[in-house]
Amino acid sequence: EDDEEEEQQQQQQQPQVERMGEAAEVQARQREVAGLLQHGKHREAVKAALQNPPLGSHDQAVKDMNTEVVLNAICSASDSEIDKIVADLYHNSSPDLCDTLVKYIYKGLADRKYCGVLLKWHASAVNMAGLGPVVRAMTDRKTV
Amino acid sequence: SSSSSSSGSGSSGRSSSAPAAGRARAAPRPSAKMANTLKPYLDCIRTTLTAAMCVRNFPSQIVERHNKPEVEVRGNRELILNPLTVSRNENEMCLIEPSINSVRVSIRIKQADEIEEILTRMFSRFLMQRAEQFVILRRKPMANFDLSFLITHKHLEDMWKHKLVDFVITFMEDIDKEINGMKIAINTRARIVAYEYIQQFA
Repeated sequence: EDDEEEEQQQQQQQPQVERMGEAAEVQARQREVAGLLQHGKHREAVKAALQNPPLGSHDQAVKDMNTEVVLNAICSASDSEIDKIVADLYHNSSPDLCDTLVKYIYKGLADRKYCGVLLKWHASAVNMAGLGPVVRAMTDRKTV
Repeated sequence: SSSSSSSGSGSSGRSSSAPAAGRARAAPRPSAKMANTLKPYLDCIRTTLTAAMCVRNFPSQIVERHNKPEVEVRGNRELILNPLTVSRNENEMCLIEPSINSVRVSIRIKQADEIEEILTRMFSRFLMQRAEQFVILRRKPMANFDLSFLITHKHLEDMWKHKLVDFVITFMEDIDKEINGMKIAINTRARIVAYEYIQQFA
């Protein structure tokens, strides 16, 4: 019984450690993306912002921070670059990144921020990757 | 609202014969920026709806022999999918809530001023009272929205999915145009009435 209690305590402590780890990760990503954007490297910035999203995290603040980072990266790209970046994401990187991109597009649209830009990104992403990412945004239990 | 629109069209016939009544002041035209977001907005809704309307028959798990739209019942979390919002700006949005056997689509129509608010309310009330004929319309809109559709697997068995999606998109376009048209008719009629009234003091 003592062992079980210890395990439970460890499990309670673990989420706290995980949360601190997630927040630190998001902040590191924020710095990385800000750096890339300063150099004008939009494609790398978007790719870096979409890595390892805090899916299913219990901490809303961490999720919001990551959303900020991603939307910043997405909205700073100019219109002509959108198609190229999405094509690059779809063909060269893992397909997870396209799914994450579409999830963040819907998150941004739900908050009613940057609507015009996000609608363009959405059209481009669906053109490239089809309806799959949309369906996965609907069905994935672990939301962004 | 049907009576106001028919008398509005009657009076606009008279306005053309009264030049001094002035040209009907058109509703403020959407700026190029606004008009530019309409097509991407509707395209986004079209793809999201096409993805969301994958429903099948799923009888109720709780009550025997009952078949309820799970998006309305919301009894079991595993049967409901994540809701998606598509918004054009702060005031216009479309909330799509899918589930295993039904989809609920709620739209908020652009309402620039009080007259448009009143018109939207009356027009949507008119439609919602006739929800039975409409088939997919919900009698009450969701909170913060103007109009809601409820599309169940039964509707998709009877109707084509792409046609249903086309219908919802055309509906959203037409309702904007109708409310604009009604507002123009109201303004025209009000101007004529005021003109005729002031005439007697002229």
